Amino acid sequence: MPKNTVRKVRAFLDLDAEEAWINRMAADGWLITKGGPIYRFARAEPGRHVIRLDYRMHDRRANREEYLQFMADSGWRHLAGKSKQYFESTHPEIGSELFSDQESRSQRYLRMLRTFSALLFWFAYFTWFSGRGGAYSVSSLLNPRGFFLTPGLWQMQGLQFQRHFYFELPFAMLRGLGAAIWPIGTVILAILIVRIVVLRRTSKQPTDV
Amino acid sequence: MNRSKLLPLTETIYTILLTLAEPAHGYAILQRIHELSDGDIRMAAGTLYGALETLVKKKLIQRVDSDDPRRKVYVISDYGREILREDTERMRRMISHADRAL
Repeated sequence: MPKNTVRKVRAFLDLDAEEAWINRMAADGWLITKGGPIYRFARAEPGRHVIRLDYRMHDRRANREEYLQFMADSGWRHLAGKSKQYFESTHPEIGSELFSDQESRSQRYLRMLRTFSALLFWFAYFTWFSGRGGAYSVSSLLNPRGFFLTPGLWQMQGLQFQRHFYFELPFAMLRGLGAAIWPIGTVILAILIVRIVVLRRTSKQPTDV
Repeated sequence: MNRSKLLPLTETIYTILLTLAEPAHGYAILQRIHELSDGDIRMAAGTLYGALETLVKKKLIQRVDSDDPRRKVYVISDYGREILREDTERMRRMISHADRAL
């Protein structure tokens, strides 16, 4: 029996690139049912589908329902997504774009920036907060021996040392990761934010599919 | 709010304000814009949705009660009407300048 669903792992910041990929999948007969990074697709009629992306979060359920109702009224069927929203046009011959001016198209990146900035704030906060001391502080990274808790480990010799060292190594690495995750996350988020700023400035009206 | 910051209105904003002289919900606004412009302007749904949020925030339009909680109804505010008039006046002056110059 042929498979009816398929999973794919991808990560996109560029909404236009993601949209192009989702539409290629649809043309091959795979319609998105769950957004990334672990996408899910279900079997559908191969051929022309017009799928467009919005980026929008709703703080209240009622607002989200009102949004989806409005989109449905306007000819856009919601396929998936809670922040990145995937819509398929039910009347592609009437309107195949979700945005009719450049301003509103690029505002999606502005909303994305807000989400990522909030995350950056928390990662930076924990980096600073934990940097002031404690077992998982950033400063503990400068003294990796501290991640090994075996009493007297560093006074041991030869085989005895190796046995205890390699036994505890995975646990020590986990402790190190616990300390490193906030600064690493902060740096990654900062890079992603710069990328979104660039995307916002360069996002161009695509030619109609 | 500084009025000069809002002017000139974008075509999107101007058209929405114009159609909201009468209360309407989202999809009805899209249809009205299409009719009002004799089919010239076809505003996309995502664009309208974002613009409505902005207009409410700037108090140019306001929500009115409706029987259907899943379809919000909006109408232009007094302030919005004032801004719309001012921008129309601005364009009228521009057109008369243009008529003389061309």
